[in-house]
Amino acid sequence: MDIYFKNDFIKNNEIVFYAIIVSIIVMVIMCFVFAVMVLKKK
Amino acid sequence: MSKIIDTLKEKNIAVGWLYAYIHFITEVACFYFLSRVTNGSYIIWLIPFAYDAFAFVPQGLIGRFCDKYSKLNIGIIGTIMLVIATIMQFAFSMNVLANLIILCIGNCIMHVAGAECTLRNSDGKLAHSAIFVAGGSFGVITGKLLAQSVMPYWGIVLLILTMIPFVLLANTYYTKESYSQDACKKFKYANTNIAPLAIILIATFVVIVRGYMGYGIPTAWNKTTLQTVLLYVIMGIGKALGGILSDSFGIRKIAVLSTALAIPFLCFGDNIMIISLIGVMFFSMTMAITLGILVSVLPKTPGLAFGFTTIGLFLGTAPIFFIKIVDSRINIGIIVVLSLLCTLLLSKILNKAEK
Repeated sequence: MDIYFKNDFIKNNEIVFYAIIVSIIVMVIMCFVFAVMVLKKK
Repeated sequence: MSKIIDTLKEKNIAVGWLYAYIHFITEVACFYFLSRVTNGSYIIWLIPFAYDAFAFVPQGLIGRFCDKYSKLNIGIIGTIMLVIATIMQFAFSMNVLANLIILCIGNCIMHVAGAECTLRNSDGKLAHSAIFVAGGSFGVITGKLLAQSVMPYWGIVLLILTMIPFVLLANTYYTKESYSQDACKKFKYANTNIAPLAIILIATFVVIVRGYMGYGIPTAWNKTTLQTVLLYVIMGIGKALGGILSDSFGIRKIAVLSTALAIPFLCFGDNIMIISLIGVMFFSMTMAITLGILVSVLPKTPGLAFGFTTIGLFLGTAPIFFIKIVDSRINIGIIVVLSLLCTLLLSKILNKAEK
């Protein structure tokens, strides 16, 4: 296989890892919501 | 050449140089912390991943806050947070994740302060923010090298504190106009025939590709510390040149040429350092260009616009933590396809009326 996944990265750190992922998703969505709000105000 | 010299004499260009130093020290502090915590190895993968997430992604939100309260001197707050994180980690050995979050927020604040100050005082030019952004590349490698040296943590604390006079001096460039919502109205680099939200998505995609390239390009030649230093130095020079050349010769010309010319150099530079470095320099030039496009779409909120570039950088580097492409042919294929796509997209979203 030429491409492989580094699964060991997630192992043993599952809760912290998923907390980080959820925070990232929330922050990215909030940025886009702010952008839409700013664009609508124009 | 005279055009480039004229660009370097632009009004308020000193703000770019002041924040280049501040950005440099910020990255030195962060990468000293990161490298010491992970002991130079990447056994603790979670720490660098968490750092990337919390140092890059919140910048849009902090930027939005600073857009609303533009008179707030956040650079001082960011400096204090970097000092606290360094002391708590190395003097008191407190919880590493808590210290990391403080460090990341400090990093975010310093970046947003730099973006706000350079964009608001640049009169619609790109060189100011490009010079500010370039300082970071030199800081990353310096921080990593200092972490491997005998440099004590308090030396880093003193270095961080040297940012205070620079932040205060940069703040003196603010005028009543640059604090106002119209400070960035001269940024008109985006194609007005395309929906603004689509431009934001496309520009962010281009940044994602650039972020991926930074780590994904084949660099088998990179084996010594000096070669790694050269790689980061060239990245920094490329970022600064992107803004300076765009102001001198036109953003559209530089965007398309730099992205397209980078392709052959990146593909065939795996074993030849000089060829690879030329490719890295060309591709790094897009940094200031994408920022200019985003600010053109969101001129009243330059902090939020800057945040989209850092979100893109995070999303571009995140796959490196999970996926490793072993076959260099696949990697080269990805580079060619993505670079061509970026060239095409940039030519579409840039204002055709611009030079």
